[in-house]
Formats: sequence, C-alpha cells, structure tokens
Amino acid sequence: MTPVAFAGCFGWLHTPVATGRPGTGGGVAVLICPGIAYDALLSHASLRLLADDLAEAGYPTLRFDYPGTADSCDEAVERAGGHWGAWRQGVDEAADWLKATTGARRLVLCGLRGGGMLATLAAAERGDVAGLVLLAPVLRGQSYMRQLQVEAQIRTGREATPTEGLVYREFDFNPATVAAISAVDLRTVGPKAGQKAVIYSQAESRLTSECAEAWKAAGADVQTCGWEDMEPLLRHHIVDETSLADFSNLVYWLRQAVPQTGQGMSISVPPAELRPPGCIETPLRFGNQDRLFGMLCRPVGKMSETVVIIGNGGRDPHYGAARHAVAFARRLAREGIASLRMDFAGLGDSIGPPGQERVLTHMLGLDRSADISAAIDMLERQGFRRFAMEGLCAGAYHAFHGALADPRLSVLLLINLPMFTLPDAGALEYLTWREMSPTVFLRKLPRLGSWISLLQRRRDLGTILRVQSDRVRRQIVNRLRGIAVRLGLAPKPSFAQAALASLSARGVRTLFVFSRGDAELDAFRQEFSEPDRELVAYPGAARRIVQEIDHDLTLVAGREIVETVMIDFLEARDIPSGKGPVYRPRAVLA
Amino acid sequence: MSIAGKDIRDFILGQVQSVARQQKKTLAPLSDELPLLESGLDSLCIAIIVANLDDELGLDPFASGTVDMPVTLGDFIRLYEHGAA
Repeated sequence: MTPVAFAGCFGWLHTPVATGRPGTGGGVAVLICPGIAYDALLSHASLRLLADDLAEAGYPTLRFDYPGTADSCDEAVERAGGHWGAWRQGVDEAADWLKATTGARRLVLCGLRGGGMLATLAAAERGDVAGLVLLAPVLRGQSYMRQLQVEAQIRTGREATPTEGLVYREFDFNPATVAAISAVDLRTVGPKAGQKAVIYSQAESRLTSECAEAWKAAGADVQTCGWEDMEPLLRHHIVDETSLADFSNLVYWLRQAVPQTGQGMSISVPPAELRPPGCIETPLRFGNQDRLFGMLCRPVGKMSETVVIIGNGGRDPHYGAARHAVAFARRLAREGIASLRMDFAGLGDSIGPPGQERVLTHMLGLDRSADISAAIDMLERQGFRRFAMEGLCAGAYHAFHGALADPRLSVLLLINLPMFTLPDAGALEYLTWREMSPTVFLRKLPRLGSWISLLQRRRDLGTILRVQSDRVRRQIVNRLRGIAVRLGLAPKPSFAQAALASLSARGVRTLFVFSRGDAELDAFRQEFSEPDRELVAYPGAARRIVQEIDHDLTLVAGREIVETVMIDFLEARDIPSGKGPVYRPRAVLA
Repeated sequence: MSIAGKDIRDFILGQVQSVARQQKKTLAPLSDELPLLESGLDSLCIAIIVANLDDELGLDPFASGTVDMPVTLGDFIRLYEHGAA
C-alpha cells in the first residue's frame, strides 16, 4: 500500500503487486468511501484489510479521507460551503484520480455507513460505476442526523437543534450541511439500471427492503446479505486483541458481479505531501520492514529540532478520536514545533507483528517501546534532536513506559493516564469498574434493583469484588509507604514512584493532565494521593486537571485548553522565572 | 399501543436487545424504572435506537429539539407511545 495525496486529501492506494499485475489498464478499480466520525475510527484498520484483500484479488483499491476528516486538509470544506458538499466533491475527485492513476475504465464504489450514502449518490450520477458495495449504509439522512444529534446531546448534556447546525465530535455542521444530509433518502435515488449492488446489513429492516425494491424497480441488480464476519467493522472493542473483519464473502461477490478485465500497467504515484495552513505533512513508513506508519507534520519555513511523537489514544487510528491528534499536530506546527502522529503495530495503518496481521492488537498488553524507539530512530535520521511524546489514555501508558525504555525521550505529555502497571484483575475489568469505589458500591446496594441486577450477573459481581480488592490493597500499601516515609524510614517505592524518580533523575519533564472525574484520577491518586506535596520530590513532574475536557478529547473547546497547557509545558513556559525545576534541553545524542 | 402493525413497547425492547447484541453490550434486566444510562447501553447505542425507530416506525419525538432526554427506559417508551397517540 502506498500513501497518496490529491486535492488536499490523504489516502492509500493498494495495488495488486502480489499477482504480478500492478495496475488494471482498462479494467476495474475500487474506491472505498469510509464512514464518518466514530464509524471511521472503529473501521479504519478493517478497511485497510479490505483494501489489501481487494488488491490481492486483482482490484487496485483507493481508500481516502474526505476533506476535513482524518489526515486530509480542511480548506475544501470552506470552499464548498460545508462538509456535505465537500465530501460529495471529494468522492468525485477521488474517483477521477483513481481512474487516471490506474487506467481503470470502470469503478466499484464501496461505502460504509455515511460513506455508503455518499457512494450511492456518486453511483447515481457518474457514468463509470459498475458496482456498489454498501456496508451497513445510512439510507435516510434525516434519521442519521437525529442519531448524531441525540448522541451529541447525551455526551455533552446540551440540547442540540439540528436546524441551527450541529456540533458533533470534531464537526461543526452548518445548517446547509444538516439540511443537505437530512434531505437524502435512498429510496428515491440509487444505483442505475445495469449497475450491480450489494447491501450488507447488521439487521433486517423495512428501510433496507424498500431501498432494494426501489433500486430493482429502476433496473439495478441488487442483492442483500447479512453481516456475518463483519461485526468488527462497527463494534467498539475497548481493550482485548480482536480479529478484524473478514471480507471473504464481499470479495467473492465482487469477483462474480464485476470481474476484473483489465491488463497490467505500471502505476506511478508521486510522493505524497499535504500542505495544511502553516504545515507540511509527509506520510512515512518506518520500523522493521516498514510496517509502522506515521504522519510527520513540520512547520513551514522553520527548522524544528523538537518533535512530539503522538501515539494512539486507545486503539483509535493515528489521527485520534475527533481528530485531536491532527488538531494538536497542526497547532504545534503553527508554534514552530514538529510532530509525528503514529500508529503502533497492529493499529490504524501500521501492520501488526508477524502472524498478527489480521488482528487489532491489544490496547495495553503489548509493549510498544520498540515502536516508539523505531519512531525516534527514524526521526533522528530526519534531523530531529529533542524528542517529546504525547499520549492519551493507553497512549499515555505507552509513552510513560516508552520513556523508561528509551533515554532519548525528554518530555512526556500524558493525558488521562489510566494506570501505571496492568492491574491483577485485568485492564478491561479495572477500567470498567474503577468508578465503582467501595463507597459508591455500598451506597448503590440498598437499591433492590441493584441486588437483582448483580445477582443475575454473578460474573460481574465477582469482577467488581476482584477489582475493588485490588484497588484497596494498592491504596493500603501506598498509605503505609507514605507513613513510613514520614517516619523517616525508607520503604521500597512502588513501580510508579520508582519510575517517575528515574525519569526525573534523567531530566525528563513529565506532565500529567486529567479531565474531571474520580475515574480518570483513580490510578494516579493511588500512587500520589497528595500530588501538590508529593510531586515536589520529582523535579520536572507536574499535574494539571482541566475541567473542560472529556476522556478522549472530543470536546473541541476543552481540547484547545489542553493543547495550550501542553505546549506551555513543552516550551517550559509554565515555569515561573527562578522557581521550580530548571528546564534544560537534553544534549544531542549521537 | 401499536403503529404499522407493531406494538411500540415490544418493538422498542426488541431494538434495545438487537442493538446491544450488535455492539456487544451486556444489558441489565430491562424494566420501566431502569435508568437508560445504567442499562448497559452507551450514548451511541441509544442514538442508533432512536434512528432505527424513526426509520422503522416513522416516529421522531426529538424532531422539535425541545424534548428532554428521557431518564428511564419507561420514560423512553412512553415518549414514543405518546408520539404515536
């Protein structure tokens, strides 16, 4: 797969190299239209596999980010007067680029959720679409907008009135976009006579049947299929290693419905580069066999010695939930600082370890230090000399451990660090039940419903008890340790305390940022129950609580505050003159 | 109460179970008093159910933009039953 850029959009071209037919002059190519927002996050790695599978079956395949999404630039959104117009135009530009680059004469459009709606509209208008593959497509814009509105309302606690526009995660949809999406009803527009179409649905529905019937009546050849083996596309697996979606049925359908007829031709793609305002962004492959991926973002017209590595938050792809990694990277560039937003092995666009190419790797259970060091090696070759790392949630955990393993990291920006070590009760169990402190637990139990609920889910009761006993044990041990210190004894520090002391002794500056809420602070409080007093013992370490942010930085206003806090820390602007630890840039490493 | 030949309460409960299955969520025992956000469904699941109910039943009680988010499952069902009346 080769990174590509066109019309301000970033994408990946997967070509059938394995078959010895690198192109398809005169034949068929596939354009993948991803989902939008959360749907895109969940499905990113699976769609990479789909593109690989299609390429292996002989179809050059392009997957790309719509304007204003993921790694693509934003300017087209403004030019088009809103997201929907820009996305529809983006699909057309991607289709034209794919044909021009591969020599294909016919296209198959493959769309997921909102991308299914965009693909269908393009199929209805273009004269070169032979096939349409729809994965749990959005069929009515009005109900889709209601879904986004309700989700936004629950998440933010604020009423949303879509007629006045809609703020949903990273998007600020203007009223025209809301109206345009709401107006689409695929019962009235669909594939044309002669086009082949298949709809994969998560569940039978009246609407899907009505669309299929309407399209058949218009002369299209339409098939509906179940969702077997595709669950991972749209399911949120929090922690555990999980298989990605299996597209065998889809590839089989495509081979039968729109067989490849093209001849091999050489494909030449210029090196990809994006130019968002004030930045130059270059996609880079690195590490063992170039299996890792990252997007280097540099400031225009300024040489930066410092580079901030931005790891995956949870298991989201490198651009981050609500694009927070992209926003931070471009903000850093405007401040004159470079960054690399990267995928750890087996996440996003980085290929998993050998033998694990078709799985989404574990959020916490895999040591990412080697990936981080590989990124630093590559960045050193690019000329960078000072290395910082930002991490959100699991990304913070990996950054902390990465800094312990690689002495070249000199600044850590850790947001909502969930734990310092993997808990005995299991990471997922701890994350699920950490909010259920013993006090809350006991307060809830007198309710009859709670008892019934817990007794009917005995496994949960056992898990809660295990997690809580683990938490209580840690708290007791740490309090005893604190008492021993006050008595002048020198107890063995915990892992977290020893690790932070080691980083501090090395001159590493570490910023812990937390959103509001007991759950977020739980692991940190277990180690540093009085941070203002205790962190003094660790020069360079600081903790901030930012009330305005949510766990995964999807609220844009709060996110900007955190960015400022982190940049100030990175540049040591937060240290009053003559007070606190003195910031010294680390010496250049050979 | 029914619409398009479907009992609204049964249809909503069926949707809750179907979406929970799709999203691999473990549901608490369903009752009218169960707070929606303690049911095992997250904000995405609830939003998907609202969209499905609009598509399948043609009911959209949130269209006015002035409806408060129901707190319990019973409130949620009653909102739709009221909308169909």
